[in-house]
Amino acid sequence: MITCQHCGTSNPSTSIVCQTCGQVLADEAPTQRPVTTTTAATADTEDAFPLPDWLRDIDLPSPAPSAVVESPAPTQNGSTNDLPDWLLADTPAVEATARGPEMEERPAPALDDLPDWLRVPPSATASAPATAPADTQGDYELPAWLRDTASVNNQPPSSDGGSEELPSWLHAASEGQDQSPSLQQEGEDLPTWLRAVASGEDEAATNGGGSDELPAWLQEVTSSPSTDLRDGTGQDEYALPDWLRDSGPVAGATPARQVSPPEELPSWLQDERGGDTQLPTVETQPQAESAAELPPWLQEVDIPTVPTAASDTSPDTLPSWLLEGDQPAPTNGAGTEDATLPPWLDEIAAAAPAPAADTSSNALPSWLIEPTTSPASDGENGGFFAATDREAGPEQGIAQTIELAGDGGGWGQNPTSGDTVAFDEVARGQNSTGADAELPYWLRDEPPATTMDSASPPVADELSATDIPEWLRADEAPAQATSGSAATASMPAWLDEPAPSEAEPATALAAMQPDEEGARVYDAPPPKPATDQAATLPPWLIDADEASGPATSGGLPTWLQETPVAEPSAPGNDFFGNLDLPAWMHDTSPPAAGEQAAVPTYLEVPASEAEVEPAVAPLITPAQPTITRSAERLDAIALLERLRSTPVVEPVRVAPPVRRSWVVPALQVLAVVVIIAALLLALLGPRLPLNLGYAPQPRPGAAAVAQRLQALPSDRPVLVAYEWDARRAAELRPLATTVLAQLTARQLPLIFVSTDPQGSLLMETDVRGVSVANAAYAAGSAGLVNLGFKPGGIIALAGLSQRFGGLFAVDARGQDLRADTAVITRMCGNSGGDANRCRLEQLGMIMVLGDEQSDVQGWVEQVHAAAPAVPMLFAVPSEVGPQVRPYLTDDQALALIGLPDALQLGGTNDALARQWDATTLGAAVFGVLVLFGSVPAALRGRRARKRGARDVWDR
Amino acid sequence: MGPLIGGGIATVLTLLVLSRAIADNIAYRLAQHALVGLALGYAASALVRATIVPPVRALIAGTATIEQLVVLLISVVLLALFLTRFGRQRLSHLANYPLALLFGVGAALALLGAVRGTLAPQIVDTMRLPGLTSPDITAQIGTALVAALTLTTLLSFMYATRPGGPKGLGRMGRATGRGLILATFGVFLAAAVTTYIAALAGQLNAIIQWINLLLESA
Repeated sequence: MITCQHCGTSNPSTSIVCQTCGQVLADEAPTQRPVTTTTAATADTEDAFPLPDWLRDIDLPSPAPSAVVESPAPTQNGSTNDLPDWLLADTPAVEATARGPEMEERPAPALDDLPDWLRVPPSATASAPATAPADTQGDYELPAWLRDTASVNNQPPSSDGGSEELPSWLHAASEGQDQSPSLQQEGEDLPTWLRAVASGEDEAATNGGGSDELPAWLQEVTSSPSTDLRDGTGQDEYALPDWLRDSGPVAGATPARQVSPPEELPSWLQDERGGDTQLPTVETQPQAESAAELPPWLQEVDIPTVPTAASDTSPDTLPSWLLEGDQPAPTNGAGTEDATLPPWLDEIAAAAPAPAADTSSNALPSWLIEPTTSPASDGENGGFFAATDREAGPEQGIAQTIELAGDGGGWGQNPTSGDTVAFDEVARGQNSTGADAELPYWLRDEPPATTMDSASPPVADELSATDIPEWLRADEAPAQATSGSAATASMPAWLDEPAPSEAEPATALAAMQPDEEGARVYDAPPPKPATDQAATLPPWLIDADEASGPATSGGLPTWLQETPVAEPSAPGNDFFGNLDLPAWMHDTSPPAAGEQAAVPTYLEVPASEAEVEPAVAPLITPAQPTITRSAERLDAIALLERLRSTPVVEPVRVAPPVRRSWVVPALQVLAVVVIIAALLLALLGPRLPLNLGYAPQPRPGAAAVAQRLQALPSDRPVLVAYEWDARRAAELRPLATTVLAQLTARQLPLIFVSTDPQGSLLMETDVRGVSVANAAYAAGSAGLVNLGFKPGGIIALAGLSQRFGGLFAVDARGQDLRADTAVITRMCGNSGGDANRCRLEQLGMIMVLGDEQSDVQGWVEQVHAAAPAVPMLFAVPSEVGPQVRPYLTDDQALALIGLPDALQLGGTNDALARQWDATTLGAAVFGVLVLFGSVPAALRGRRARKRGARDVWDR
Repeated sequence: MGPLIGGGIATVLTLLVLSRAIADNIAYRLAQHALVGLALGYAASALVRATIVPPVRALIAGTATIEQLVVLLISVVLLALFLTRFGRQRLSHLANYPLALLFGVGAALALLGAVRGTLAPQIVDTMRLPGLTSPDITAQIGTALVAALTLTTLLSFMYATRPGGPKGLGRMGRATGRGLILATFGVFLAAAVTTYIAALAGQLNAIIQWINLLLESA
């Protein structure tokens, strides 16, 4: 835990800034930082692994901590302690810009804080593609993320600004590039380890005299008995960091030195091939010439020489600190080199007898100098910038250096070669032993052992995966996926370049066209997911908190993570659009004259606000046209809404009220009354002359019946069948009475039978009357047989026709008459008294009194058909008369129909005559009523037919 | 007294039935139900008395012949089978045998009698060729007219025809046939009206006679 001195809040050991007050915890006592932290070395660890002075002397300006706290990028993902001062010095300025006036009150780091190699000479400013106003000193040369610093620096730098915090060698640089620092100044400002270089002292002298000022890792080198960086033979591989071994040639190391074993290289610089034979040698490159002409760290980026056709090679796409050397690069000679070289590097350049590659390596800041694995071990240095320094001429040295670095350095190597395989493996911890031992302690996650033992397992294990700059290693996987080669994986995409032939990498690169270079340099796979980038940050850029922080914060240095990875690139800038580069590297369009370059968003606003900033412009919805509706339309809308919301009322069929019309009942009653009145008139009144004075016409049927009755033999019995009921008594009784009167008058034997129950009852009544009226038919006589009711209908009729004698088995009283010989003889006529010999043909006549057509039909079908020769007389009412007409086709079939026949057959009978008159009058009245009633019925039917009603025939 | 009481009951019942001419009323219903009940009661008693009592009486008296006994036995068996329709009806299917015998014999007799007593005689009478050869001209005209009207009437019954009906002679023949049918129905109606008017007149005459009898007795 780290206790904040400002607020006293305990913060995690991995925190850089106080979580409460936001003050930078880096200002706290170094002893409060945990030992396990990688970048914040404790006093003990500093003793064991001394920081370079230019890193150790970094002291954030007093206002910087709070500003850093406010800055999301370094606060969350990075540590200012891990940053070089040239990066650290910008942070407060950036934050001050972002915070506004509040931050501006803080002493902003002056431009003097910047190292001179970050500055651009005023003379070069004019030729810069993006020139800034003169008052904004350095803006035109600074990257966007540094321009804010410059803008802040427009204010008079305070005396207690960053100038005091900067190392002297940075102070000197900040005073002006054209101002050559004196040796005395160098002796005051530069670290001793640089001072020694500048003064041309050999390392032995430096080691002896400046051990206090030299970083520990330099002190160790010098103190090691076997650290002869120049001979390269007996040196301890672990005594000197590889990237410092590159400076060996500066001191006169042989350029043809064999490639160091892979263990000597830091994993992030180590070529996976590792084989000596595979690494190109720097002997094939004219490195000495280039080294003398231009400092490689100024020559490394030669943007103007790169055709602008490839937008990714434009100066704006590179950080200004990479573009600094662009202006004088193409034509720079030695003099130019001197002008652009910081004084602390001039010493190196001047004292460099080594080949150009070595010189170029010395010209670069040590942290940019890459260890080499080539025999010359120089070409591997500066591989970071190798891609852009392949131009012929003064830049060739740098180009060669980059070439070598590309071969030997993990992140500058040829992507097509297999050199990065081992590098990748090292980065993955598969070959961490050698890699960790080569890293400087300040690049390691954990302090190595006090003795730089290559076999130190902890160091080897821990540095295996983290010593590689993660923001460079982030492109590993995509590179592999894209090119299928592991070489590109270890190189940042924006530095990736196609691999030249291994045999002559520098030559191949030198022969490349600028377009190709640009394309190769920035040909990189699409941005990786943040999770993959999390572990790829270099340790010196990784905050201790980052290990436990969100995975999305990794992959790039915090100061690079501000720019969204997926930020769309400008048109025609596809290379950068796929890279994990800050925005200022994506910006390919040079700022217009007089216009300050765009400030990256991460420098303008806090990350928290920047994150919520929408990536795309909000969708602007076109304004809907205003619709003006008239009142009628509104009413119609309301009506429709009401109809829609209101449920439809189902029509209920209500039965129409019954109109109790008394017309029809009255008419009915009236008709009945009229008919009854007519009947009563005929019955009670005098006889009406209905025949109009004429005698009634004789009815042929009655006359024929009368003739037949008169012709009947006296010994032939007459079968009288009563098949009628009381409903037709008004007509049938007069007929029965009339016929019986005719028969009894002649003393004819009579056999009464009935198949109808009511007929048997009515028959009984008539038999009793006949018996009473005539002595010949008195009870016990043989003139009359009442057989009564014979059940079975047509079955009984069929039995009668088949077995006529069987009728005598049971009479009306239940007696069997078959044994009565007198009866059988009388009734069967000459049968000898045997009932079984009785036949229908022995009958004189069959008279059927029926009131229905079925009665006639049954007798005709069952009896008349069996005995057609026997005359059959049907006495029926007028209703059945027309229906029995078809059965009267035979001459033996006769009929008496209704009262007229009875009246004609019976003779004069006043009562029967009045009844007939009443019937006739009643029928006439009924006819008149029908005529009257037919008129409205006809009209109604006509109206119905006009309405399309179907006719009665079509129903 | 008998004719006076009987005439009085007949008069009351007649008035009750005639009350229906005004509206449906309980008096009409009473007379109607009394008529139906008395008719059914008398029919039932007549059937029992005519079919069951004679053989049973002969059987009890010991005067029944073998024929009567066989008929009685068959009647009892058929009656027993028919009684299975009542009760739980487990053996109700046995009632089908007497019913089958009854309807079978009746249908056979009806069919045979219809063909023999109705169809053949009427068809022959309709095509009465002797009438055409009769020296009576009216008989010849009547025979021809009956044949023509019969055909016209039969042609009026066209069950499959075009939507618009027959055209020309067909339409006229159909109208003629329908006219003949309506005339026939008119004849039937007039005959029925005559019957009912005669019945009304006869009933009114009975009432008048009863009133006369009542007046005479009074």
